[in-house]
Parts: sequence; structure tokens; C-alpha cells
Amino acid sequence: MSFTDKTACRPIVDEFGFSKDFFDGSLQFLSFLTGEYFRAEVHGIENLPDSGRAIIAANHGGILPWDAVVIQNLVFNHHHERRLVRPLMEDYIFYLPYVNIFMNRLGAVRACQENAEKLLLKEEIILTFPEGLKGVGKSFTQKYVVQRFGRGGLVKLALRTRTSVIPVAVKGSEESHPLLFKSNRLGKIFNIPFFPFTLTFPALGPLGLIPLPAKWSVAFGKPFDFHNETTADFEDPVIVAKYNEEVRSTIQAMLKETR
Amino acid sequence: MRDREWVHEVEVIGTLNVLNACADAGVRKVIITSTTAVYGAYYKNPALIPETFPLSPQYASPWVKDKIEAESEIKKFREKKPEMIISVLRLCFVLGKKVNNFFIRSLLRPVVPVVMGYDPCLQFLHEDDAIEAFMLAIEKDYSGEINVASADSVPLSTVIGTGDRKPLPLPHFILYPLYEFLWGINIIDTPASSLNFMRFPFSADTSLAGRVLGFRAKYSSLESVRIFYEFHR
Repeated sequence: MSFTDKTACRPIVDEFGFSKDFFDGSLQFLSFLTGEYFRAEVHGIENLPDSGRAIIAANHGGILPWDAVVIQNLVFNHHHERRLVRPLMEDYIFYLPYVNIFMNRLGAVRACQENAEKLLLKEEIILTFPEGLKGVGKSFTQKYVVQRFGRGGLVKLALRTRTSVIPVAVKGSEESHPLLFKSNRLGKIFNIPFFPFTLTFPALGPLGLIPLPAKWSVAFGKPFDFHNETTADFEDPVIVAKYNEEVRSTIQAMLKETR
Repeated sequence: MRDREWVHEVEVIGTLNVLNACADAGVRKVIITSTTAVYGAYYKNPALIPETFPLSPQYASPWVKDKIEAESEIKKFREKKPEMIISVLRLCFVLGKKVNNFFIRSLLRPVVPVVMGYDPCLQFLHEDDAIEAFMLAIEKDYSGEINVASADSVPLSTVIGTGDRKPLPLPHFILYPLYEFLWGINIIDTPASSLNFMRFPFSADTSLAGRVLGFRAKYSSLESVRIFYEFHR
């Protein structure tokens, strides 16, 4: 048919919006960004499974989701199975113009239980930032202080789906966009959680959104397996809170180590 | 579309009238068409929306609001008459020779205004698949809401590119007031709220249709789009 060739170059997506074409097309640039610009180091990549589902829990920082991009790129380039990580991002990412397309085509979906469960059932590796907005919105003086992990959605998900959680410590995300000040009132006008003031943004306009060339390092820790838990534990708030804090403090300890 | 009162009469009261008449005549089963637009195009939607997803009329456009209201009336009716089978098929955008709605008209313009910086993945259904879904709904008895869509989705940019149309990206803070103004002076036939469907995704989870109806779309979304533009060349 005459019209097939023309459409071949345009992105074809899976049911979550991930486009293999877009991923392949941007791989070279993102590998340059991760490897040369951020000079990212990887530790403990062998803690990721060769196959099957897993949940990565990482600390969050920086106003733009570079941490998700870097982790995805590092896993793809350094893990011998070249596994694709699916980031689960905060709502506002899918509200920002262009950022929403970019992240969605790279495989990111909105962080909610429905999406997480569907991806895990497809035996994917999902990347979560359990701190959520509190991680992004903390000021530079609070850098690498891992914030509270929501209400335990991560642990509940892991227990319910019997998936192991891999703690990940990311360094460099905070220095790339050091948040000096945030304005909730301006944020309301733009319908985003807060309006950020970094060293370069909004002073340099859109150029200020280019991340600073901080040195990054990403450490993958030993997985938490919740296999010996019974089904009754899934909704037990005490057990959920205990594991929640365990994962959080592990990431905090790993961040101290990789100083 | 413009006459709000009349649309409301048709969608909500009309649906109720049909249901009452059917119950009165002892009809065993009623199949009602709805749309996946009832979920609303919103950035907080899950990637694949299940039938159980709460419908929120406060974000909806007037047309969708009536659909949501009609659906909630159907739900109430179902509870009162549990012996009746009422299937509600929520269809995604259907593409076909005779189908005509605001979305299809805008896709057929030589230049399609789109919201700058947004490119939602959309589901499309070939008209043959839509008919197939209704045939299956007649065969199988399922009282409840069912999403009917093709399992895959296509980015809006790919849709416009497939049809050899040119996208005209405008920032949302210009496009929305512009549409509201043009709608107000009768130049275009859709209010600005319909732009949400070209800005945010609202893809439906089709697994229930597969389980209870055995429905699987023969044409993918992209194939339906290609066939549609071939026809409207």
C-alpha cells in the first residue's frame, strides 16, 4: 500500500505510550548526557534481576526528571540483559508541555497503583520515587535527606504483587538543579505543585532548565524480598510502616556511603 | 450540541424513557451506547482506565456531562430492576464512512490546531469492530459497563501525519480562549473543553470486554486511522 512507508518513521507506541522508535532515536543523546555530561558511575547493577519483575525505589531530586532518565539509561547500557526500566512519575510531569511527551515516549507513566500493577504483571522493572513531591520540592540545604515515603504505597504494592524492592541511591540529581526557593503561589497560577527558583531558572529563561554538569553516581542495593510474608500482612499498617522505614533508611545509608 | 436543554433531554431523559418503556414491555435486555470520553481527558488518568474508574462530571465538557448523568441514571435503574440486563458499551472514537463528530471534523481539516507540547495517545475503533462489539453484546449477557476499544493507541501527531494533514501547535493559553471565543460567535461547533481530548490521554482498559464478551478489535487503532484517511482522501 502506498501510505505505509510514510508512517513507518512516526512513533508507534505501546498501550502505556512507550515508543521503541523514540527510545532508540534518543538513546545516543541520552547516553552522551549520562556518560559524558553527567559522568555517571554505576555500582551494584548485578542486583537487578536478569528477568522478571522488580521495583526500584530511588531517592528523588531536581526539578526535572533527569534522575529517571539517567537510571533508565544506565540500566539499559550497563545491565547485560539491557533491561528497560519503566519510571513512575508524579502527576505534574504529565501536565508540563513537552516534558510529558518526552517522558511518556520513554516509557514513563503516572505513579498510581493501577499503572504499577499492570506493568508488574507484564514482568517489567518499574522505577519509583517513594518520596514523591517531597523529594523534588526540598531545598538545596536539605539535599540527600531522604524524605518520608508517603503512606506506604510502595511496600503495599511489593507485598501484594510479591515483588522484590531494589533500593537505589542517586547522587548528582540535586546539584543538577539546585532548588534555592520555591513559590507555591506562583505554582498555583501555572497549575503545578510549586514554581521553582534554581541557580539558573527562571533567571536564564528556558536555558535555565538545562541541568548543571554535576557528577552523578547511581548505586543499586541488595533487593528486599518480602516472600516470607503471609497475605494477612499486606494490609497490616504496622508491618507496612516497618518495611517502609527499612527501605527509606537503607537508601539514606547508601547515600552516606557513596559520598 | 449548542442547544443545551435539548441535548440534555435527549441524552438523559431520552435514555430514561427508553429504559422505562422497555421495562414496561418486558424487554429482557437493553444495550446502550456510551463513550470512553466519560472518563474525561485528564493528566491524572491511569494509562488504561478500568470500567470501575469514578466518573467526575466537574471536569467534563457539557456534552460529556450529559453522558455521565445518563450513565448514573442507568445505574440507578439497574439496581431497581435487577432482572433486566442493561449493557452499557463505552466506545472509544469510532472511525468510519458515515461517522461524524467534532473530533472527526477537526481531523479532516487540512490544518489541525493542536495544543502545543502535548501529544496524547488515542484509541480508535473501526466501525466494523464497533458493530462486532454490539453483536457480541447481544449474544452474551453482561449487565454493566464495558469498555469497547482497540487494545493499542496512536499518538495524535501520528494520526495527523497519517492523514497528510498539518498540525498547527498553539499554546494552550491561546488556543482555549480562542476556541471559546469562536464557539461563542458561532464559527466553530465545539467549545474549548473538547480540546482536552487532544491534550490529555483517556485510554480505556479493554480487558473486561475480552473476558465477558470475547471481544477483540480486528483493526488496530493505527489501521483504523489509515483506512479512515484512505476513504476521506
